[in-house]
Amino acid sequence: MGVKHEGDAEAPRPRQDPSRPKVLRRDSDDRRYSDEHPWFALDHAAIIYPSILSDRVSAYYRIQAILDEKVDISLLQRALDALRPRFPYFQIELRRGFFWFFFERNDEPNLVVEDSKFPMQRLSSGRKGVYLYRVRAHADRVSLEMCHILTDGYGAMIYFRSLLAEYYRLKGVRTEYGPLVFDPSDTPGPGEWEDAFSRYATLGAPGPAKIGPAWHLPGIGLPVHTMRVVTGELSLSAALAKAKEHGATLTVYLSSVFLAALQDVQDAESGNAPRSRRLPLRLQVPANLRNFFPSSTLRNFSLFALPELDTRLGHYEFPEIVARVKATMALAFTPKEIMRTITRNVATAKHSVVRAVPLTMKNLIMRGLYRSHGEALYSSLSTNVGQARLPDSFAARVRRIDVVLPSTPGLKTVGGMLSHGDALSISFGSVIERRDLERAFFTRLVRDGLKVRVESNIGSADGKDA
Amino acid sequence: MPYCSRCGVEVDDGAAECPLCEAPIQRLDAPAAPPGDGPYPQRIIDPQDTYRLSRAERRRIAVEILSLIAILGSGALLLINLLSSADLGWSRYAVASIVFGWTAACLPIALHGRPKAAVAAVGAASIAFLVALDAMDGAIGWSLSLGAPIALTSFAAVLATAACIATRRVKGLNLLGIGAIGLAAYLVALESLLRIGILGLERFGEARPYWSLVAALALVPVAVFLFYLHGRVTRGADLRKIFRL
Repeated sequence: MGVKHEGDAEAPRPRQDPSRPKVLRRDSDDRRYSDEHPWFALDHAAIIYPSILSDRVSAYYRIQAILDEKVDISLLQRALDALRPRFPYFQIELRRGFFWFFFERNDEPNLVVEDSKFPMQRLSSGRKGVYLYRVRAHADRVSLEMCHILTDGYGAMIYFRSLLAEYYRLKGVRTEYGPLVFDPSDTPGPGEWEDAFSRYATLGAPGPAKIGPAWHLPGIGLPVHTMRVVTGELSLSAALAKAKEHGATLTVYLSSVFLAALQDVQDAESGNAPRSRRLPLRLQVPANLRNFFPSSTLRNFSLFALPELDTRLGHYEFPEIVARVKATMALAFTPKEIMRTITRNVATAKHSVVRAVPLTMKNLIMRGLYRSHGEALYSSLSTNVGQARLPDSFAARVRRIDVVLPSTPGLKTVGGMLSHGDALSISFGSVIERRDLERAFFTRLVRDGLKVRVESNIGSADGKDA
Repeated sequence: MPYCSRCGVEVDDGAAECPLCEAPIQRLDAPAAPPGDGPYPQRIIDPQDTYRLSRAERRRIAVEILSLIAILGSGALLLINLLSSADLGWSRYAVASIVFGWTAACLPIALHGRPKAAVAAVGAASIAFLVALDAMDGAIGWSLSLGAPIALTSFAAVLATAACIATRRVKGLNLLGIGAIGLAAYLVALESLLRIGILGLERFGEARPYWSLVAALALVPVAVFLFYLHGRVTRGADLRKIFRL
């Protein structure tokens, strides 16, 4: 149980907008808003995930906060129960239809789960009553494990902030609600349910240019149901200053370091083999599409840029990599370019032949497509969620926030970045024994003059024996 | 804060080695934190990880499902037969086949981890099935002269080939060669058994094996060629590597 602070008592909920109708809820028993959507379809980014879920591909990512004291599990459970009706689109289970998967309202209790050594393992989404997210706790850390079928990092961060706000409200800390922290007693807006991809798809728009396969990390896999998480913590202000030195944003700088680390590993791996045989290094860098297309959806609405290095042309120096990443991202993240991918994805799913294919066959096809047209096209994934933007009322009581992405046997090692205060957290999720990508990445930061502190969920012996 | 002298990164107080390069962390000042005091719990099993059944549970469920299918299928066939002709005729053969299928499927599951016992049990069940089929018309004939010897020979050929393959240290094209030799021997034995069963032992000498010898003479050179390839050309390369798609 958490340490009780003096003067801690449940704080009243502030009313952010007195003109809006307010409904007092009776915790998670209130189904008023989920009753409006007893079932609904997956969004266009999510439809691929149920087909590829397996013991090795979980599609769960994790946002975790390290607090300044031990987590009070009972308060966290109360906060979770209070928050659930505000996010009815997350209170669902995944069901199989004949042609597509769909979401159905889930009335089972959602309990806070104790943490375990290997996070983000797949839950049995085929069973009735299983949620696609869960809240976990261990010592001073609260974690939200969210399946990408439900939402992207933006939606998960709003849920996580709101959860922490409710937790601290129960501890007596009053937080002003707003667009980034939702009031649990507020009414969910209709736009929050929206599949924004459908709204912004433009019939007739040309698709994205075709690209070939990318190089992938070599390495022997860790045992199934295990994953190594390596987290590096550094000063955000120092990293920002370093990015500025290179004339880049933090995302561009970190993506460039990631690509440079991939190049280091490829150089070491390829030895004296001719360069002409090398495959390009390509990094998937996702972006929140709400920055380009107005939407209040809390479901998936993100796409990615794919900066690449064609190492057949020779070794890239770091300033060259920064210039390429900067240019690629500037070109990719424009509404017109994004429209290409949105339209292709939506048009494919809405094609009459595709819709008429039974789900069993769709699953087989989508698994193949995911390998050939998904993972095969990029070497790894690096997402910068940005600043956690916790409310001032409890920001000081959270020491650090991490985002951890689940890796797959195809990508092997992926990275996620998130900052809170002056703590920039960079986490790698990996399913291979080798750690050379993580090492190349962090040692590059160290050589660039940044001070990095590294921790992991397993030691080397664990990774091989577990 | 301890740090890795190879990577230049700081590590946890309790870390015995660098999370990046696995080099041991040298401590000059503070003693190491107690083990288990890391950022993640040492509990490996996920508390909600109850849906993953153990292998024994999966085997038990498989036997249950197979048994239920066999019982329902047999019952339906017997009832249909009774309804249409008021006695048990064709359904006896169908039910015997279902029972044999159930036995052949369940025995290896029930005898998991004991392959020799499973093979022996399935072999015995196969012979019993043939004899039972033969006895259904009131007399035992072909099952003893042809069915049982052919079944026994088939099992013996498969087991001998598998045993020979298991002894090979390098498993490559030589396995295909062993398979070809095993097949050749089996075909010769099969034709001999057929002739003994049809003509009787006393007239065995009148018709020597013919087609099986032709097949064997074709298979043996293939096997020799494969052994040569294995030993001299591919130098014992793994089959999975050669035929990797």
